[in-house]
Amino acid sequence: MSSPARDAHDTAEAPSSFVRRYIFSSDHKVVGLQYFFLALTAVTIGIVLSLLMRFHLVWPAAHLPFVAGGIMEPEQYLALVTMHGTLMIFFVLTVAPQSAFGNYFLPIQIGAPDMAFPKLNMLSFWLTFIAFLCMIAAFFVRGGAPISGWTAYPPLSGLGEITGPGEGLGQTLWIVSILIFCFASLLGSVNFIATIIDLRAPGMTLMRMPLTVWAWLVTAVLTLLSFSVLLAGGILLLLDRLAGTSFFLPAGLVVNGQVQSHSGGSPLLWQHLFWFFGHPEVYIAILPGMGAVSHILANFARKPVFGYRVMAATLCAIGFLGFLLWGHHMFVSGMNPYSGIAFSLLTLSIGVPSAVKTFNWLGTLWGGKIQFHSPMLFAIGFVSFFVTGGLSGIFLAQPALDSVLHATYYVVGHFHLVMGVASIFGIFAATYYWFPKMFGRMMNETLAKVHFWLTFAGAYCIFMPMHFVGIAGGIRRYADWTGANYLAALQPLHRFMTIAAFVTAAAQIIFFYNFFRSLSKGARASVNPWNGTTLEWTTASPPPFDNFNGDYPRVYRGPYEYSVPGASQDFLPQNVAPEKVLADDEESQHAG
Amino acid sequence: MPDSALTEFIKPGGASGAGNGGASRADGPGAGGPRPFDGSGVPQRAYVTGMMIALGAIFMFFVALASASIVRKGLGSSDWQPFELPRILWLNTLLLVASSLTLAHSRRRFLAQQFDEFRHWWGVTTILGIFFLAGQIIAWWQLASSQVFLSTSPSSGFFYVFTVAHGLHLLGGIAGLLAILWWSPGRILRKTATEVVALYWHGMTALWLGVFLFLVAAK
Amino acid sequence: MREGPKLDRTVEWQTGSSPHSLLCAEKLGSARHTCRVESLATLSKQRIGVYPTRHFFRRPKVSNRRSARLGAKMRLCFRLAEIKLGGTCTRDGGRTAKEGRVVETLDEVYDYLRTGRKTVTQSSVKTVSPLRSWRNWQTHQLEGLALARAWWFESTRPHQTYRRKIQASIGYSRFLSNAFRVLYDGASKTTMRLSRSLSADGFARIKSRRTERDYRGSAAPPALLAVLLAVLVAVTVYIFIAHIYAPPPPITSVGRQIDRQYNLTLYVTGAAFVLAQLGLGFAILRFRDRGQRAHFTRGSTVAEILWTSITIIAFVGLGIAGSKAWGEMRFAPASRDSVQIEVTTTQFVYTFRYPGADGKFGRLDPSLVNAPAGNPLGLDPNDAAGRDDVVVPILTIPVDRPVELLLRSQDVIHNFFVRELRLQQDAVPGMVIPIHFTADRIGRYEIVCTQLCGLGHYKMHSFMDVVSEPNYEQFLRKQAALQ
Repeated sequence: MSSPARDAHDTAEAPSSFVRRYIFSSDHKVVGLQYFFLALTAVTIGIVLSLLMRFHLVWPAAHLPFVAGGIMEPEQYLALVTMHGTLMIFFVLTVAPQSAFGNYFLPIQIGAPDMAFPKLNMLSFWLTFIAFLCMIAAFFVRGGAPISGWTAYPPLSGLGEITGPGEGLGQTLWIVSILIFCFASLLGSVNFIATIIDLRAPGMTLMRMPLTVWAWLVTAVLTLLSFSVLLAGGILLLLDRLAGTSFFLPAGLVVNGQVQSHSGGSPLLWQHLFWFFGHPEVYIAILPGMGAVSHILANFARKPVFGYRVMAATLCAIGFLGFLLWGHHMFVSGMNPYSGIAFSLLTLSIGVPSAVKTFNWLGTLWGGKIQFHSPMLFAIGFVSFFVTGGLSGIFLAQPALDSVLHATYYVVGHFHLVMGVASIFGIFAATYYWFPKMFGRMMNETLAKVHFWLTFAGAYCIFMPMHFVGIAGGIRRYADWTGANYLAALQPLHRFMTIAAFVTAAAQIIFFYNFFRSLSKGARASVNPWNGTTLEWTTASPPPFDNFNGDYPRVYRGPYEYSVPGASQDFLPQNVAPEKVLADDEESQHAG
Repeated sequence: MPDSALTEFIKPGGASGAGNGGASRADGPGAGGPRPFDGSGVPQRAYVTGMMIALGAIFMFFVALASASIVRKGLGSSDWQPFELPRILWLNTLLLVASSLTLAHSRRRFLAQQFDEFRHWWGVTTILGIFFLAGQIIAWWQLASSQVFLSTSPSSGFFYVFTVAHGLHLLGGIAGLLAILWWSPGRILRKTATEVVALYWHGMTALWLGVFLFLVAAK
Repeated sequence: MREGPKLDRTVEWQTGSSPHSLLCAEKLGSARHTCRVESLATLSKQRIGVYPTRHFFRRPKVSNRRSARLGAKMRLCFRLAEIKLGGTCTRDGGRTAKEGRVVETLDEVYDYLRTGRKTVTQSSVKTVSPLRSWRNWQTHQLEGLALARAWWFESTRPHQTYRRKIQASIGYSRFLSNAFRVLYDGASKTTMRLSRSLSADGFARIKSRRTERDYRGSAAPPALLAVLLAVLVAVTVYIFIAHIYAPPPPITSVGRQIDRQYNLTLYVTGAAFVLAQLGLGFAILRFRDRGQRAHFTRGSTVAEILWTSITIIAFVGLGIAGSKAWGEMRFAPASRDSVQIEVTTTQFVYTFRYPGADGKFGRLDPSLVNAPAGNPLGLDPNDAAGRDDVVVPILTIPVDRPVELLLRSQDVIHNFFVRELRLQQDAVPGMVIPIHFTADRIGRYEIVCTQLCGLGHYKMHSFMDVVSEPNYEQFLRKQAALQ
């Protein structure tokens, strides 16, 4: 921030050294790709962890060659649970849709040469990367990774090694990693918001921004307000662990027969702080997916987004309401039961904008001319998963029903569908959609379709049965289903889910193969392979260093002008001047 | 430094650099809002916007701490022991408010193109800021010598968290102030940089007033 | 791999293999025109409709199937027209009106192609105004919006390139329009011959379909997706209706009330689920790209308001209905005569304490906790109230009597969950959380911990025995004797 007048893009020339160009690059496209590959790494690890978990649930006594001791211990299982959740939520669902695609396409879609603060952007990525290393390091310290879940409820997470293996240095590394991640995300969101406010191309009014940009904007605001709260909470938790304070740790704790010296803190305080972050975090994961899906549905249905203004407004409404309903994670936590009713009604009311969005997605498809390219399939899959997962949330939003379903596999199924799979489908849709722009090559459509069918069916086969397990009373985060008697009856369902999980994970190999093969072998992509209207489709694939080769666009119309009556083409790019349109038409009259 | 270079640099709107083709696109349907951005590098106002957003995040951080503190105190557990706030905090508050005033004065001198005056008052602000930090350190030392540590009681814990967090933020502000001083004699003066640093500094003052009021009220 | 229609493809002449067509293909190829003509076999000199695309609302009112059939012919016509006019083919498969008109017969098309003038009868031509101004919905400015043709992004200055191309192609177009006339006659004869042979005809049809698919997309993905969605709905609905996975019946009146609320929610969300998924399946099947034109709409305020109101009523209504059971469970204090039992959770163990004959719990001191020595709760031996306290690892409660449990935890957060009670409650260290219920069925029920509490979380369980009143008294006597 100290040298505002100088800007890398003044020269419109890419730095020539390898390090400045690809590693410590301030080019938003390179940073976006770095984030993308970071998320790709994290998601690979996360999937492997989840497979180990699923395997252990069904065959708990199996000998695993890579597990110390041969048979997986319960604490190792819980370490997997924790790290799977943390990696997926922070380093995949926060990084990929917002930081990766947002960084890459936000400046292009609003007609800017780069983010507002390119160096800050680079700093955010490298901080995120350090946070990632720090998180992974937790696996390799004494005691291993933490076992307190991604929510890290104290006292389990606040007392140190005495509460369980992994709660020593592993948990400390976990908190430090999250704190670094928070800081990086805050820097990133400052950059996003400033870019959207100040770097829009002439003519790019707020109501002409693509819905992706709207989604990134709302997400950035959510990030700004929620991660700062997690940062505060995380610092307090770290002090509780290391400095002997008692913010979250009550008096009179006797752990393992040893009396603890803490006094008077409240574990619920952490839960409030955490979920004040944690609930918006859910929307941080899903909102960019919603934006991308709206974008893609309009493109391949060849129709304007149904109710564009409503879509933008519901994004904002979801973002706003998302801050008011953290308490629905705490219905049975010992919180005041009266506030449960308030949180319940607020939670149900966030169903309204979500339902309106679904309605508008269906409205966009209705009467369209739908082309089933792979991005479109994933976008439709997103809608389906969002509907299913969203509706199962209606149960959990009611405290009376939550007191049955809380902490069962029902919750696991619910949030995996609505936040995990739906977001991942949003990411897949965006990847297939923007791959030609990012890498200048097309992905193989057949492989993409195979990938879609297996993943779509597979994800439902994994996560729908979880709802049934939960309704029958199956408890989550159990390392082993032999502990409680009635759970044995649900084992066949578990076996089915595990097999489905392995098949689905295998299907991801197709994606990876397709992705990396297409990087070099894919057919050359044209500038606008999907006949899109927004600005990213008006520049080369991949875009030049300053995105528009010095010829910055002016915007003349809204983002989704598809099948406009009277136009000869079924799409009107945002940057084609009306005069040009007129001139062309007259010309054709004369020629005819 | 020749005055012409200066005046060019401190024109309202700042130096947006030599636009590549910006002028040719100045016309057109005026749907671009009040500030058409010509794509030729980062507009200077983005830095101000970014600083405001960053201040928003910092405020949110302190609001979270404050609400945690309120909840923690509201538990009514016996370990919340009030302690005497060091008197020097009042002096520190005065110093910081004074530094904001001198900073505002310095900014006015800058806009009036009286650059020596500007540097003078800017330096005063920096020194006042450093005094504030020193005063905070004295306050911590006083507390520590009266056996009030971070883990003594949640009240002292929150006190230390608040003041240290604010102090660290302020340290960044001092770095910014020093950077402007460092640049200003030899190199071009940066209107936006001074504006951003001043904004941050005023934000820190406002934040401290909030924190201090909170600490006083929480007793 | 398909990546949308492309420019600059070479000619694919589907049905004919005559020298004429090859010649034509070569010419077209060298001229870098885009031209794909397929299924001439389907053409006949009958009345056809052509979309005057500028007037989308004047679409011929024909049935869908007929429209699709006509569509194929129309595309052909327009490709022909484009070749004549400019030698470019637009990306959307050629449905670009150069001038708005309705062409009645193929002959008219060919006349038009050959002469460059419309020789069709005046009655059959409905010329529309070439420019239509259109109000930008965002800026409310009038914008001319009669886009005449594609812009080619590959070129830096698309429109100039285009103008040159027009001029260059006039010569070609003269030649081509004649060539096509010849070709058509030849091709139709060839087609007639081919159609006599079934296999050849089928082959041609498959080939032509494949070409169609190349830019329209096949019906397979939407059909498969719709089937998957239907299967999903069917299986889910079946599992819920058949109660394959259901918790055991509740043993409290609040539990039954919760089940009723559960069913109500299930009906509402189930209906929404079925409608949304099947609606999605229907939409993608019905509105797949069959060469139709997308219905242009930006949305409907009325529909949005209506839908928002419906969802507000449904969701908030559910919430209000559901709060009743919650209130009964949590708002009301336990009745005075309820049996008080303290539940203490430590890592992986539940411990239950009964106040004994004096009805008072003894004082606890964390520093006295010593589980191996038989004092897991840290009972203060100096407190008289604690002398008769009964400490047991399994919960025994009397049937049909209100019970109040006081949940506390010694170390980390645990949970108390009994499926049959439909009740979960965290036990938070530093807090004593009361819950109350009245069990009305005798039996043994399992208590499990649902809050992650450490490595032994999965095996933290105990039992709740609901026994008759005499058995309960007997249990208390026996335990008192044991202590």
